[in-house]
Amino acid sequence: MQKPILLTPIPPPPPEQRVARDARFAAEGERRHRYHLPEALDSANPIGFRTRVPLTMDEAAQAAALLSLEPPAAFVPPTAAPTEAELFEEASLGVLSSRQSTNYRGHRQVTLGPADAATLAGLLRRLDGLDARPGGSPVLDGAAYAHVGLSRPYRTPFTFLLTFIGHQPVASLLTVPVRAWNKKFHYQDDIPTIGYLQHLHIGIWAEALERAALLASAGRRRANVLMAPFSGPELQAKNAAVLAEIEALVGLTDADRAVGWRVCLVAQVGDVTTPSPLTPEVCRKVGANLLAFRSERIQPGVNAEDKAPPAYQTRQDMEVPQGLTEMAARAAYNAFYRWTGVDREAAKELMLLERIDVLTPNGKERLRAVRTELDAVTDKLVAGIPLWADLPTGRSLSKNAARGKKAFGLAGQRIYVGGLAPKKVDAAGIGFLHAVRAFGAAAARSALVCELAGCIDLPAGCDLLAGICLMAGPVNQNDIGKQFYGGADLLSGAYPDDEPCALLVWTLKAKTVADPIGNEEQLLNAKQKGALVDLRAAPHEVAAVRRDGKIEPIRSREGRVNAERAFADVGNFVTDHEGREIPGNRGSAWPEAWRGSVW
Amino acid sequence: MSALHYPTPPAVSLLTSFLKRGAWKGTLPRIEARADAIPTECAAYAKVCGFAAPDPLPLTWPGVATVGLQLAIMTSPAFPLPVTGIVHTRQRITRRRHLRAGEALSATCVVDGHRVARSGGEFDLVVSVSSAGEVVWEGVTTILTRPIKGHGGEREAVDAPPPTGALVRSTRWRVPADQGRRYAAVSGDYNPIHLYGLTARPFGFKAAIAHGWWTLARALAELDADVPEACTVDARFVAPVTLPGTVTFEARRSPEGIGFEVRGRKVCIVGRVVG
Repeated sequence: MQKPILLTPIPPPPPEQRVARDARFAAEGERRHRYHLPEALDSANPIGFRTRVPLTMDEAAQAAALLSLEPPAAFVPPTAAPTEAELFEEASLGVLSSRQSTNYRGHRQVTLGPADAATLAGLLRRLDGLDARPGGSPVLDGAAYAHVGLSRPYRTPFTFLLTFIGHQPVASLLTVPVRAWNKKFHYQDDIPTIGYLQHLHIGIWAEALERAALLASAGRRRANVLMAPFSGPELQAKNAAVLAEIEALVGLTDADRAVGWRVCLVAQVGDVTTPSPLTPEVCRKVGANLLAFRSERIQPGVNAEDKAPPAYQTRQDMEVPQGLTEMAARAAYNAFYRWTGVDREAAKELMLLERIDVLTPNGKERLRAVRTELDAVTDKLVAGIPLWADLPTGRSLSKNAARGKKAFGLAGQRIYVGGLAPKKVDAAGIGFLHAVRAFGAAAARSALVCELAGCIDLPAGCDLLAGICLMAGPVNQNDIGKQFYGGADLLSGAYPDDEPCALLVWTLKAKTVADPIGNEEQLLNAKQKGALVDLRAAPHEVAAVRRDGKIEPIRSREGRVNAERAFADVGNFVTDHEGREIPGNRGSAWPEAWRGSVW
Repeated sequence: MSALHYPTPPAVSLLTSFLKRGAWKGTLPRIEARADAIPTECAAYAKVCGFAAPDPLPLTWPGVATVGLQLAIMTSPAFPLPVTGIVHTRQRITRRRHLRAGEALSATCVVDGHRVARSGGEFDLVVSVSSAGEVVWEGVTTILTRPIKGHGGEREAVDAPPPTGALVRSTRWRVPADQGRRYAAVSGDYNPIHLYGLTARPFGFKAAIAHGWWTLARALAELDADVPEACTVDARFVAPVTLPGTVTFEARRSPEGIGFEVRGRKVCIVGRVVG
C-alpha cells in the first residue's frame, strides 16, 4: 500500500521581504527582453502563460490524494459517454504537458473507443511481463476508452551536439559519421543517460495520466496505466506479435517505426465506484495549477542574470520545512512501489538519493565540488569538439556546449541527486529500463509534492512559495565525463559500493517570485522576442482518436485547430500589474457542437 | 418607390452602375427588392468562416444569401449612386430564432433615404428574412458612399465602444493571403479589393483586404455558443483586415452583453452581441 501524503505549507517570509514577478509589457519604444511580457501568444497548445492558483489547507489535503492514488481494481458501466472536451483536458494534463521543460516531441497518443478498448484488453492479456498487481490481472474489462502511448528516442539539438563529443582528433572524421549513422538508424545513444531520458519521460507521462483521468472527469473516472510489458528490448521481442497488432490498431506506420516510434504504455480509462477524493471545484483548481507549474531554474540572488529586474536579485533565505522533504520522499517511494510492485522498504533501498542541503556548510562544499566537476567536463568537451565541424559553423558547437555551465547551474535550498544501481535493480527482478521509468514517475511525484505545497495559502503578491526543477542536464554532463574522460558517477561518493547510475537532479527553491516569463519564452520562441510562436505541441500534432476504424487527430476540424486553454474557467492567466492579459493567452473555447461524445 | 423582384442584378444594370460618376445631391428614393426564396445550403460558407455547423444557419448567412438583393437595389436604374467605392461601415443583425437548413425563407431588402456623415453619405440596406410570413432575421447594412458630400465635421464617436468587462475569449487568427478568394468562392462577392494585391491597388489599397462580412462571420463563429439564439449583433467596421495578416480577437462579457473586437495594428471591427 502507498502511504498517505500530508502537504506541509511553507511559512512565507515577512511581508517586506516578499517580491513578485515584475510582469509588465514593454513600453512603446522600449527594447523588449525576456523579462517583459510577450506582446501576444499565438498558440494551439492548451497551456498558455499561467499563474499558480492558491489552495487552502483543505483543498491541499484533497489534492494530496493524487500523490498516493492506487490503480483502479475494476471499472463499472459508464454513466455518461466520454466527451471530446474531457478527452482534450485529459490530453492537456497528459501527453501535452507532462514534460514541462523541453521541446522534445517524443510522445504521441491514440485513444481508442469502448469497442477498440475491449479488443485492446484482449491483446494486453496476451502480453508477457505485465505489470505486477496484487489480486489478479492488471488488465481490466469495461474501459470507457483507452490511450495507447507511443514514444521515440530522445533527440534534441543537445543530442545533436553530443554526436561530436568524445572523438579522437583525426579519427573523428570517420567516427563522427559512424556514430551519427548509428544514432539515426539503430537508435544508439551517445551516452547511456540520454537513452534513459526517453524512459524517464515515459514514467513521468504515466504518472500524469493517472491524475489526468481523475481531474478531467471531476473524479468520475480513473486510469489503469500499464507500461511494464513495453519497456526494454527483451520484452518487446517477446511480445513482438501482440505489439504488432496493437501498433496496427493505432495506425503506426513503417515510417513511424523507422524513426523509432514504439508503443510505450497503455492507459485503460473507465468509470469507478470509488468516491472521488477531490470535489469537482478542487479538480478544476488543481488541473489549472498542474498546467501552471514550470521548472523553476532561478534562485533569487543566486543565479539570476545581471540584467534581471531587482525582484530576482534579492536573496530570499526561506526555510524548507523538514516535513515537506519527508513527504516528497514518501511520495517518491509511493510512486516507485506503484510502478514496480516492490514494497516500499525495497523501494528505499533501490532508489539512490543523495541530499545536498545547501544551507549547511557540508552541503555548500558538496555543491561547490559538483559544480567544479561538471564545469571541468564542459571545458574538456568544448576543447575536444572536432575543429572540422566547429569552425565551419562559426564555432556554434563549442559555444552551445559552453552554455551548459549556465544551463546546468545548480541552485536551491535543497538539491537531490537521484539514481539507480543496475545490479541491485536486476537482483530485485525488475527490468532496468522499467525501473528507470518508475524512477521518472517517482521524481515527478515528489516534485509535485513540493509544487502543490508551494501553492498553499499563497500570500497576496506572491507568485509561489516553492518551485522545483527536475534536471537531467547535470547528469548527462556527468555521464559525458564518465564515458569519455574517466570521471566518476555523481552518486559514487554517496554509494561507493553500488556502482550507481545517476539519473536526475532535482533542485527545490523556496521563494516568493516565479521565474521570469522569459524562461518559458526561451523554449517557446526561437527569436526570443515579440509575438510568441509556441513550439509546444498542439493537440492535433500529438493526440488522435480512433473512430470508425480511422485515426483522426483531435482538435483539428473543418480547417480549425485548437485555440482553447484547458481549465481556462479557473482564469489563472498571467497579467501585468494593471490586470492586462497577454493578447491571445486566454484562448477561445472549441465550438460547443464539437465538444460532445466522441464515440 | 421602385419595387424589384429578382434576387440578382442583370449584368447590364451592373455595368451601367459603374458608369455613374460625379457628386450627387438629392434624396435616395425608396427602393425595395424581394426574393421569394433564399438558399440555405451553406456548408462551404460555414467552413470558410469557421462555424462549427451549417445547420442551424450561421448568424451571418442570410446577409450573404441576400447580397444579390442588395446589389439589385444598388444597380437598379432608380438608384442614383455608383456601386463602386462604397464602404460597408456597420452591420446590425437581429435574429429572432435559429434558421434551419432546408427551411423555406423569403427576403425583402429596402433602401429609403440617406444621412449625411462626416466623409460622405450613409444609407441603410434593410434586409428582412421571413419564414411562413413571420420575420425571423433582420439585417441593417450601413454603407458609406462618397458621391454624397459629407459635412466634414468632427469624426463621429464609434457607436460600439471598445469592449469592457470580463475577458472571455482572446485568440489570434492568422488570416492567409487567399482568404479573400476563398470567401469570394462561397459568397459570390468577387470585389477585386479582396482578391489580390494587384487587383486591390487600383482602388487605393496597398494589399488585398478581407471581406467585412467574413471578418464579422469569423468573429461570431469564434463566439460560438456565447451567441444566444435570439440576439442582436451590432458591429462597426473601423479598418480593414489586410491580407495576409494576423489579428487578435477578444471578447468581454458585461451586463450589457458580449463586446468583441478584432484588432490588427489597429482596431478592425468592434461590436456587441446582446441576448
